[in-house]
Amino acid sequence: MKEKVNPYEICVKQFNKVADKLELEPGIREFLIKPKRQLIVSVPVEMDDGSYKVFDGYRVQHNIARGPAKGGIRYHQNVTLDEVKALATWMTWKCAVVNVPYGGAKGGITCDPTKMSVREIERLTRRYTAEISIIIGPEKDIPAPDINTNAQTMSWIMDTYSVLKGYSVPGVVTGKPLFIGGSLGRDAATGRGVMYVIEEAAKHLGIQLQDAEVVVQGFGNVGSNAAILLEEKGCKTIGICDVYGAVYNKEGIDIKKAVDFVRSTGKIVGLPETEPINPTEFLTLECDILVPAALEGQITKDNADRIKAKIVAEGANGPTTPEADEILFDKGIFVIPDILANAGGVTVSYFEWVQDLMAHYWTEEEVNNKLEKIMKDAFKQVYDSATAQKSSMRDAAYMLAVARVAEATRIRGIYP
Amino acid sequence: MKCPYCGKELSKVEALLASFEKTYFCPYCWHDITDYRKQEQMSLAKSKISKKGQTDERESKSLRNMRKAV
Repeated sequence: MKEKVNPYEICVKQFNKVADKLELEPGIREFLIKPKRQLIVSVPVEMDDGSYKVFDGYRVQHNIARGPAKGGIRYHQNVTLDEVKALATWMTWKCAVVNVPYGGAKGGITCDPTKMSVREIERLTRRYTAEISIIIGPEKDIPAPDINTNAQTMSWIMDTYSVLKGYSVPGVVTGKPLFIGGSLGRDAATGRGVMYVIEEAAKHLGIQLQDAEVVVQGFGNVGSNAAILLEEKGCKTIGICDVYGAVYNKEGIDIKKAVDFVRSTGKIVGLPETEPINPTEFLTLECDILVPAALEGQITKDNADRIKAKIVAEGANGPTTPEADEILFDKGIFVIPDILANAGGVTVSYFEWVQDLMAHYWTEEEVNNKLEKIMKDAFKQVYDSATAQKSSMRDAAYMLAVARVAEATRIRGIYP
Repeated sequence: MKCPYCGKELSKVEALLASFEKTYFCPYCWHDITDYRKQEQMSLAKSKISKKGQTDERESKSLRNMRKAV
């Protein structure tokens, strides 16, 4: 039976392990794990049939010691306060590990957007924005897209916030369309970041990317872009899985055809020149690189010992449970933890915010070059730290991140 | 680890940051101790070379695991 996973429990467990290693004092420990602000809002929406529905919305700011809070907004029927708290905490560590001057936040609305019309989603977004407008802003908390939210959603948030302020505030959200202050390179940024850290890991482990076999779980923005960019580096993707099923081709799947197929049919199953395989066995396929880029809690103690990849690059947030993490470590699998592997998105979000504040925009090449430098520097710091501390990459990444936040907190002191 | 300027013992957090940040200032006297760290690392590397047999034995689980992964 599949293990039940509470993301906040995972998050606290991970933090405590690192806090022990860093010998953090109890006071600082409590200060660092508790979210700074948790806002729960009721979001009333008039549906297309004239009825009213009230949705639960959340915005959690975990920590702002290093800068304004930053984190996505997700629309999903399983969104809970615990999930949002965990995701906000992971954002704090993620921003710290790549050293962008942000704290962590996350938001969400418990809803099923697949059962709502575009107009209903727009009204939901605008009302939610109005409700959380008291705590967001370019210098306070900058939302971004996450599950089931996109550039259009960000445009509505930016517009609503700007209407409330009386002037245009492009820096209030990132992941916007280019027309209203978005950044070039933002769309593919998370997948590109995943590719950069895989490239570095392969270099350190002596794995050739040419013809390396890749398995990608989740074929949304992160999974598809990582697969496209890894293909450019010579890798061949042999397995792809989405929410509807999984496909396999030992000779390699043409990623551009797969992207077109998913765009036209909405799912990967049925892709020509592939065979369908059992999704429950998907993660345990023989391969060099596994990219879990779907939801959290996918690699558990039930399947971890059957994973055969040499590198696991966590494109999703929290795809590996702590128990599974230990199993992977003991098996000698090189895990690039989520807070490092998928930090490309927040890094280019940071670039977008900087460009909005400057009102001066960079070319895509400039954005990609800056992203490459930040991701590769962060990988090196974490790898060197893991080697020196004799720890896993995850522990090293967390130690570096928590140490940075702890130090910022200590230096700032506590008011009054 | 102690700050070479003020002699203050750095906490585990500070020592970690002093070892891996690109630039690090002692949080007590605000001297830049980055260069000092580089010298420390160089001397550490030299001592590791001279004691290679011993360091091999103490090779970490993580390094063994990283190798196993290849």
